[in-house]
Amino acid sequence: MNCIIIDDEKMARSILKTLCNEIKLLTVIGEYSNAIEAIKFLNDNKVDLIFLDIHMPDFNGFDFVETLKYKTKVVLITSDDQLAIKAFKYLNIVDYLLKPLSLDSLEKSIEKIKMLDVDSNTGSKTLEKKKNHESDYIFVNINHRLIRLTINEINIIQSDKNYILITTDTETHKVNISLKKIQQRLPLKSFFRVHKSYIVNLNKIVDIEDRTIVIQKNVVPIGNKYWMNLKNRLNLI
Amino acid sequence: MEKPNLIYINQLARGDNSIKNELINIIKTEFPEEKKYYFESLQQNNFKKIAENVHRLKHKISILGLSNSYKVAKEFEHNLREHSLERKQDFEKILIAITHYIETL
Repeated sequence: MNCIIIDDEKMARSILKTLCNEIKLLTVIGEYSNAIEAIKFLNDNKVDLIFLDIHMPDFNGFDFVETLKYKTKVVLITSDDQLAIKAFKYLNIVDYLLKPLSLDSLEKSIEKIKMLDVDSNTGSKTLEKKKNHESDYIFVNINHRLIRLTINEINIIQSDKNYILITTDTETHKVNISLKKIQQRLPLKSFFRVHKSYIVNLNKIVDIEDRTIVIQKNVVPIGNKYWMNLKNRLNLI
Repeated sequence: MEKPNLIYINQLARGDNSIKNELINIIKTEFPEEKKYYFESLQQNNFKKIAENVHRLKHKISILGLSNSYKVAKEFEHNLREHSLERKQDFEKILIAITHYIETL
């Protein structure tokens, strides 16, 4: 996979180049300190992947993406964690990595790109199509990576000191955010606070017994204070 | 106050001294330049430019393992975008600490 790096900071370019050298699949064929130089290169050359800084003087990363003639895949590299939603409005922005970069986050990103390639080659429902429905997702910051979680796949959210644990059908993510804040980002229709430490996806409840909720193999307690509200909310016959 | 360190750079270099030295040399060159641009933009009272320069310096702060200072820089950058200089003094203390540390490298 041929790639180029665009970042006005030499340090950032060097770090990324060092990490790319650790990944066999990647070959860095150019590095640019500004977008104009990169555009000139891309007018005559095709690359598979562009690592792009968002904040650059004169010409920001999003301006650059809009000028791309071919919809080359772009991975944004930035210290700014506030632009993920905007980033994923662009079909060719496939990932969003936060500085300082680690080999682990870069490897995961490349894995994700490989998966996207497989999806599009097999004609299956691609992630690009899903990107049009941004409300179907939330982005959470996990170890300097903004991970996109499909809201429907979230089962339980549990507070754990300064963190929350988000349990999906297949895994649990530890995220540094409060339960209150995550609740504000989830659709009220499906997610309900059932305990001071728990929010559940109502669509995933299997049964309720003795003031506990069963979702998959997990048992969630229902707090006294939340019980009446939950009963009112559920379609009780 | 936390102290700058090379933990992240050592992790990246994975024992390769040429990589480590290259990254250190870049910090030694880039940091003073970025610091200079920061103070210049401050003199011009150009909040957009100050924020851009803080943003760039913020990355160096994280590379040198200063996680609390990184939060300060982030807050300062945010304040600058709201045209406030709150946390300026704290931010500049970080710059001084890094300047002293770089002299030892």
